Amino acid sequence: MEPAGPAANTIATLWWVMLAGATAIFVLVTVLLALGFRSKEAAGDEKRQERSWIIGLGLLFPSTVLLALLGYGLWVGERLLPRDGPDLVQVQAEGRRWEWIFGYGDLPAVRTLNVLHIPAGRPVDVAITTSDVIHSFWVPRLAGKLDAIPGHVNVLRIEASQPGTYEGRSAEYSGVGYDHHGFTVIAHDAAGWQNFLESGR
Amino acid sequence: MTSVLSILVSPLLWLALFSGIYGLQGLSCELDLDTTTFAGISAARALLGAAWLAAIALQATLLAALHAGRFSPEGAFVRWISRATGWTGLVATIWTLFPVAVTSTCG
Repeated sequence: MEPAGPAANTIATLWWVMLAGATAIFVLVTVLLALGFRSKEAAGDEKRQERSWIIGLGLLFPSTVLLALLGYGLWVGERLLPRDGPDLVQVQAEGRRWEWIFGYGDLPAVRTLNVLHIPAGRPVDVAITTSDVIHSFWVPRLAGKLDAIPGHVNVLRIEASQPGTYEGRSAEYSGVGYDHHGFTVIAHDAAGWQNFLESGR
Repeated sequence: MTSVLSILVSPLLWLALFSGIYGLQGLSCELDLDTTTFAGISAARALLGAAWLAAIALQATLLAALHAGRFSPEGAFVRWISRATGWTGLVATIWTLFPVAVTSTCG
């Protein structure tokens, strides 16, 4: 799944950073375990060993790495939040078994079934809800996923860097048939988006 | 019984604080406190930050009591375990409630 937008890129980087942190802790603990079986220093050094091995390496190192990862994760989470900005496009997504209905802030009268049209290179806020049970809106190449909750609207920021077609799907089990609960996102270039808006008016 | 209580009191307090403060976050969103600001700080942020600091103060007070002579449990082993769980409760309160105090309150 190659990231195709800023949010997906950020999430992919977060995944690699988390993997690096987890690997560093795993390698260190494995080395400590191996060394624990290998050597035995003089009994008088026990206090010093306790300080350096258990407190220094066993507690401080993982805590420092986890604290750094927590801080980075929170910072990334803040960056992914939908905030006001220029060029923002508003759309709505309503899930129901087994289809997605999309609406457009610029075209209140237009609804599309299982196909979401967006402009490429512009941030798009998707207001997600459902008319029956919980679903989950997910376009893996463009952003993370967000639940569609009955009676509640969640907003997800997505963006496609380039024009193209991107597959989306529900990532929440919601009954027999949910595995076919997919949709398509078409990201238009500027002219294509203008055509879409004009054809809907 | 007293020994069990002195060992478990800090983790149990953390459990209650965690549930309470995240519940408070849900309530502050429901009441739109994140859109009410005082001196540039939202009411939700001020409320949750104050709750977080109060929770830390409560855990620190409990830890101090576990270290103090009067409230310190009897028996070296129980005393050691109680202080360890006391420190664990304090660190858990700082660590796990930090996100709700510093990040965006409502989605």
